[in-house]
Amino acid sequence: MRNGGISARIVALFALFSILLAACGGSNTGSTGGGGATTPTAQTPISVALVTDIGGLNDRGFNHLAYVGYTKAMNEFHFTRQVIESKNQADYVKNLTLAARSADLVFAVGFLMQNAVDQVAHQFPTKKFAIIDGCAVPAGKQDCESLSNVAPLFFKEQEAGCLVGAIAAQMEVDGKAKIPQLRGHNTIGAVGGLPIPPVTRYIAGYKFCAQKVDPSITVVINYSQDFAATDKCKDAALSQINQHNADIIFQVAGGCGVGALDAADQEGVFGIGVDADQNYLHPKSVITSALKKVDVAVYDTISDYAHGKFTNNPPRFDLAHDGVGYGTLSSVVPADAKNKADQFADQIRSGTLVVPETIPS
Amino acid sequence: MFWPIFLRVITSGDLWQASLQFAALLLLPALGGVISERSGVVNIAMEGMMLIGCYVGVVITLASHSVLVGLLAAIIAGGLLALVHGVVSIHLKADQIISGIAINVAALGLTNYLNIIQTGGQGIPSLASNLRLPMLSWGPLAQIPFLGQVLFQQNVVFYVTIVILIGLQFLLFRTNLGLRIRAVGEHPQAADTAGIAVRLIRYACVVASGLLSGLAGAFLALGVAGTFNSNMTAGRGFIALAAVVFGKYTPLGAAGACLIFGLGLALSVRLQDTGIDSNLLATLPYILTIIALIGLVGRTVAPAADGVPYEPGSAE
Repeated sequence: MRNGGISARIVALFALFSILLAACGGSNTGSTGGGGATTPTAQTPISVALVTDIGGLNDRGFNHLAYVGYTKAMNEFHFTRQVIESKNQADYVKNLTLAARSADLVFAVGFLMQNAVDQVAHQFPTKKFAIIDGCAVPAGKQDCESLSNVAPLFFKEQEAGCLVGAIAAQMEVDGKAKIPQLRGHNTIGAVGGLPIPPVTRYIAGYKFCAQKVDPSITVVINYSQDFAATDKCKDAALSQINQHNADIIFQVAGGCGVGALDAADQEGVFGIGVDADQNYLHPKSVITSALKKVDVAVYDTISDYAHGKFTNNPPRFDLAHDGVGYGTLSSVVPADAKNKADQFADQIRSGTLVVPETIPS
Repeated sequence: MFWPIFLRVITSGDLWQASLQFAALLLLPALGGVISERSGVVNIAMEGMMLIGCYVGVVITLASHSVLVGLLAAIIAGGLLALVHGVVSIHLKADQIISGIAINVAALGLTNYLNIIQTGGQGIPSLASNLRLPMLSWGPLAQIPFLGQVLFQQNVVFYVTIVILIGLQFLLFRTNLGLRIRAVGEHPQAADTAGIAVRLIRYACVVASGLLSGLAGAFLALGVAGTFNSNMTAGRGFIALAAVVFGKYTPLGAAGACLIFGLGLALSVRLQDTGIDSNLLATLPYILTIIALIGLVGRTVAPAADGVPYEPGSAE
């Protein structure tokens, strides 16, 4: 009886492992990409790994864009695909260590990996690291630690937020007469995931520039406390639309925020996408997207590294460096709203308009 | 400043409508948990079964251009995954927790992987409104102030959930079959002696838990979100698991627990208007639960044979 139980357990364990292997198989597919009959290059071969945040590769935003930049570089510099998707926050150190063992340059995608990057970068001083939206922060500390082998890749999300905020506010100024779908309460909303700096920078720019267009505008801000649960962001957006009469909703919550865009579409008002161009989700109601060109940052960093120009102090990816911007405009956006955004963009590039990082009161 | 906003929030139909929807999304997998655990099989894989339901529901709906076909496929997918859990834990008598973890991990990895392959990483577009499980509005009833919005403007699956809740409570505690299910979960040897097919009942109950979780997945993806996102269940299956224990392994108890969670979730977004920190408000569902646990719920006792594989002829 007892033996029977043990053998059954072993069978079950094998079953478990085979299922796990099947599930993990995806991480290694395409590992032959870039090899074979491609033209040989003069560069020395490089080895680059990408560790995603828990949103996963197909979050339609942030992690997806990192992968787009990574793939572009992979095709150009012919390195082997090494991508690890984090399933929860406890995996960060493990995944980064795994990546650093085999690759010479490791990308950590996301602010939440700051502590893990610091720890692993100390363990592998000869390997290079780049972290998107963050820097190396020792556990229990608040501030960045400057390490020679860690490149922090920061964006000025507030500048992208500013441009879409200007578009939204100008549409409110134009009002119901010009855009009949609006509810006429001069109120716009933003649904964030967690109130972490990359999210609040977007919202800070959104509110700051909306108020610059029209000081009397109301901006309602909520956080879903989640980046994955689509229905939570939908609920937050519905409550902004139906309780506060907000009629333009800016989502800053990754895969969760797709629900906020859905709520806006369902209620016949407007949404604004984030990170990637999300106009394709609802071509009419998603009026534009605040772009954060993570793909550009990843590609540039790999390219610099391949040419021996890795720096632990890269420039901030901002409007002037084409690191942020706004995406496809829907047909409902009037010309004066686009002009407003372009006018603000020029002022930001020339330095006459400085957008704050913290949300104005 | 706090109290006027608080009063406005809790007296708005919007809050309670959202609470009931959040609660129903939790209740379906929780009812699955109740029936599985009552028959003596621990099922911690509702999360994975629900996620598979989300993915299969959306993919099949898009392929067949019929939300009904997608709904059916989601339910069946949940049931098939539960059948795997049944074979591993009833037939092979393996550790039920390990099997559950494997299913959860596999469901997350598999849906993610298939989604990347299928869409090249861009993600599935939103479903057209005729490819969704619709919201129902009950004519004049929906016009009643407050109650109309809360009770008579909900997704069609919400009403199905209510019917299942009442049906399951009746089945477990008012019918012969319910008595048998509970006997199998409490003392399978005695049940076997009395001529009850222990394994058959356990299989049926585990598969039922998968069907319910698959339905919950369809509700989330086809009814509420209108798309599939990686890990979109976001731990809901585990909260449902807590609701099972908290509700003392009864359908109505689990419904009460889900209602508290649902209210907490809806409140945590709306009370942000008062200026309370959103991080603190995010703990609200759990704080409400602890308060309810201390105040309302006494000792919870799991079915005696819960999680113990049945060996015919073993003396205990």
